[in-house]
Amino acid sequence: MNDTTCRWFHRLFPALALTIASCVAGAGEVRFNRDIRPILSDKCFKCHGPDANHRKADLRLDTLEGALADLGDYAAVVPGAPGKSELIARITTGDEDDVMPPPDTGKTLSDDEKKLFRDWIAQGGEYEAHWAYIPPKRPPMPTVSARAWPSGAIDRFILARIESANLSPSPQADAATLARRLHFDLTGLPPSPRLAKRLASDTSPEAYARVVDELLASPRFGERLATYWLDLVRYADTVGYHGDQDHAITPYRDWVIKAFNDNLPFDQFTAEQLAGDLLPNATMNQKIASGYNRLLQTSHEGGVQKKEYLAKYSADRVRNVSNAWLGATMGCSECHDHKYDPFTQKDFYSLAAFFADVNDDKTFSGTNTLPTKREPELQVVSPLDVAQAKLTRTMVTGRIKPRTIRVLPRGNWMDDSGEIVEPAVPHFLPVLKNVNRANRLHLAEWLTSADNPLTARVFVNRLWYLLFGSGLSSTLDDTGSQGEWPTHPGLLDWLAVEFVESGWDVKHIVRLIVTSSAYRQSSLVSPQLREHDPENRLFMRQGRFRLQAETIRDNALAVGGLLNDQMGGKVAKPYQPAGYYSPMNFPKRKYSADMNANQYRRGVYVHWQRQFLHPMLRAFDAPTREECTAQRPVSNTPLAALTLMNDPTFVEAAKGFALRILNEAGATDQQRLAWAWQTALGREPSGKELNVARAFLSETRKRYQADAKAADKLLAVGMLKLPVGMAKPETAAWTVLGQALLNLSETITRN
Amino acid sequence: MQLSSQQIVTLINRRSFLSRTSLGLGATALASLAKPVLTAASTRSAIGGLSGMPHFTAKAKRVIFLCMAGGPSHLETFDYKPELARLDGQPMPESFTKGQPIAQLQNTKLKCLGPLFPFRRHGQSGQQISDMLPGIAGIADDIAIVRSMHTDQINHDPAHTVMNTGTSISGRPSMGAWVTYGLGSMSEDLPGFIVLTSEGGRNPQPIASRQWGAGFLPSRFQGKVRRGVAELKKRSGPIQWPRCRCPDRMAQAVDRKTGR
Repeated sequence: MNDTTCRWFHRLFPALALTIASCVAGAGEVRFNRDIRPILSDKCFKCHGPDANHRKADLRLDTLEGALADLGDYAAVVPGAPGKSELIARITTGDEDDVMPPPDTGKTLSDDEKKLFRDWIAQGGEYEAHWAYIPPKRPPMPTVSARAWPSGAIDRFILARIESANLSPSPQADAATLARRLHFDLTGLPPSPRLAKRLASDTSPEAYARVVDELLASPRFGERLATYWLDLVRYADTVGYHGDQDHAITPYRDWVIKAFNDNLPFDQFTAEQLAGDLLPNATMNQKIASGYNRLLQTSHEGGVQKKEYLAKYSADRVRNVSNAWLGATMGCSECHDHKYDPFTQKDFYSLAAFFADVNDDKTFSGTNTLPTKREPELQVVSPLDVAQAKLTRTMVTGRIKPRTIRVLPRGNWMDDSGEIVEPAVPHFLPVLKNVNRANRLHLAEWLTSADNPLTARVFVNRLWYLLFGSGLSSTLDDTGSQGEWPTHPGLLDWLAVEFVESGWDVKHIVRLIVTSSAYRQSSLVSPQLREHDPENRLFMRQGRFRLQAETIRDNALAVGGLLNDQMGGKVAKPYQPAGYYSPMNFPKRKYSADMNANQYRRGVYVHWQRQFLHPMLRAFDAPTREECTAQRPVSNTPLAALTLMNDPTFVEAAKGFALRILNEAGATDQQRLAWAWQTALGREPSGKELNVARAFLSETRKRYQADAKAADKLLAVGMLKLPVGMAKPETAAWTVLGQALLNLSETITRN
Repeated sequence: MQLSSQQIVTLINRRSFLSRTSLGLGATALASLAKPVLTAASTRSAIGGLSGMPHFTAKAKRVIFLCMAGGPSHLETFDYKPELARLDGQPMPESFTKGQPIAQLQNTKLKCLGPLFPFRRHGQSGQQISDMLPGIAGIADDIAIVRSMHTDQINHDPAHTVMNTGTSISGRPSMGAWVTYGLGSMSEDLPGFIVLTSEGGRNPQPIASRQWGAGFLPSRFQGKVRRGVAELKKRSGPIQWPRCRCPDRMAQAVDRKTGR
């Protein structure tokens, strides 16, 4: 989600946050951060918040001083005395001229919200600093009564909340489900049938932990996490604007994969991306990592004005670094002080000043060629190229003497009247340690310093989302006032502190989460769960969600026996409808699908054309990567169903699946169906399913025996050739059965 | 405190809840609880959309929006500027160019070009319309012309993005996506809006998919692209992929409770 623009969602949200909060709070006790701030932020801050230029009636409600300020003979908040507080008078009056929020804002307060305000003031009207800006401390471990359930700290926090609502967690999922869940979550690929058997035959925590360790050590783990990280840093293979030409950056993608596989500590991971070029004796890989500063969209249109585009690039970098690392929506303060959070416009441009030494000159080197005329800086080998054999060029950070950065009044790049700013971090967050002129390396060190309240929380919250389907705070891209107060603040802080104290060990946090009892719960929704916690905010069960686009592709290729697990290197170009690129120009271009093994590589390597992203990825909600995306939406559309059914990749995967069934599964339909179910779904078919499948199979066989052309046509899809001697009608019939299995909701769902 | 069903209904706007919860589980639970809300809102014929929208009785049933990049200039069609006609052929006044972003035109002699074709007043409203548009001139009283639009973007790509999404920053939903999100669409299963891109002509500017994208809204709100009218006339679309007989019945075997 674009960081400047998530307001629509968040506007809808406080009501929900309130519901959940109220469900589990003790009756009567009002807490500012949980109960009051979300309402103030959504309904009041726009006029009575941090933005001084647009503040009405000189009243600010985002600080205690502002709320208590003497406004003549009255004050907005008089602690302990709701009757004397102007705030209460104004939200309860029937007078249209006086009532707050004003009717023309379209905002209203519910009776419950008014009561919360009254109770809050009656209880003393205390303010709390915004939770996300207070450095996390390891909280005391909650006590629980079901002592046997927790397998560690995570479970204590989860269980304590569940018990306080007089409820209980879900039972553990069965071995087959766990095998699929772990495999998809940690590698993005389906498990071998052997894994479920292993988990079923030895149910000890040690055996489970061994499986986890094996998966964490698999090179697929890096590909899995990279897919997410690349969304955050808006990695793509094209420039994004205008002609959307190709640019050279794949070694950066390979570096990310290797970094997660090597478990590069997150602080180092951060420093090498933001400032790999500034590290003493920077290695080739560290320079490749500094390609991060090149991932933004650039324009190669004739007639771009350098000054304007330098301003655009500068703002783009601020939006990305602030959202990817801090979960902050700083984009708002490009033109004015933030409406909801304390970020000032000066904070925005001061952060931009860190990037003032990035040399963007090459971006302006010419137009209308493919790839762009922008010459990549460095000749390197991919970090994943074990043989170190193949040279390729890639974009990295080159430096110049820092440009002068000014505050741009109203974001206007032509206005030179604003004050000149030096690199500085947002004024209300911990200060940068004393340096003359701070640089990107200092920024990276600040982001991952122990007292930075945001970075660790934001990252562990996102890991939790990847492993449960929603975050502990569900607004993954907004840690500000409009974001959601975490459902388990203690747990979020505990994980954040654990992350920092473990030396920013990503695999350690992933391991802690997936070995918890909470993670291992069943995802089945009982009527009781639906009634009490429809959104599963107490994590009383596991999440059930559709796999992401790349995983849906990878899964089909794996089931079809086609997956090429070659790591890194050049992009993969899957089949794509002819003419899909026709609206592009400068230059016109033709897409040529890879007609070799490169066709079958994992989704993470697919050519990412920002303006015309591969239709399969798009149908399953992969982002264009124009801006930071922390959470992909999940759509359910006919387009997605049609893609699964007709995209040659999936038809060919079904053909490959059919060949595997016929060659590997035994001789009878019964054996073959059982094998097919095991391979695609990791379980035995039910009796009912077997009946349907048998009837379906015999019908399809008859059709293809009667219509040889139809069989030929189906089997002609994709490069995969039938081995000599395979009966076409039979293969076609099993291909269609394979399609049916690949199209099941269960196949593309992670339970 | 535990909320009753009725409290949930009052607290949560059903439609926003549905659109917010991508996992859709809460949605199932609430669908039955929130029936009164649904009934009240569904006097409209639209499917989906937000409750309380539109906030007035709609007259229009559908919108055709033509973004004619590379089309004739407003100065030759609907936007008559007498001062420009007067200055035809003369150097552009400095008051007009100074401090303006004029990109590659910098340091070149800039001359004014008045309208190449005459404008005339039409209809009772007296709208000034170019002689090049006689058909449109004939319906001058039936159309609205907005002459107050302006932009801060002078390059094609960002200017198109402002036109279609309201900002030059990528990642925002397009107009069609907002309309579909807010007002719903006429069908539950078909795309809310269709986009026709044109091809051919003299070296056309590239078109970016963000002009009809859903931005940060779920992709179901994005426009469905067809490449020009010719493609609509074809019996089948561009994707000549073999059809699979939909194995619907496999779904019949699925246990609704477990999803298996």
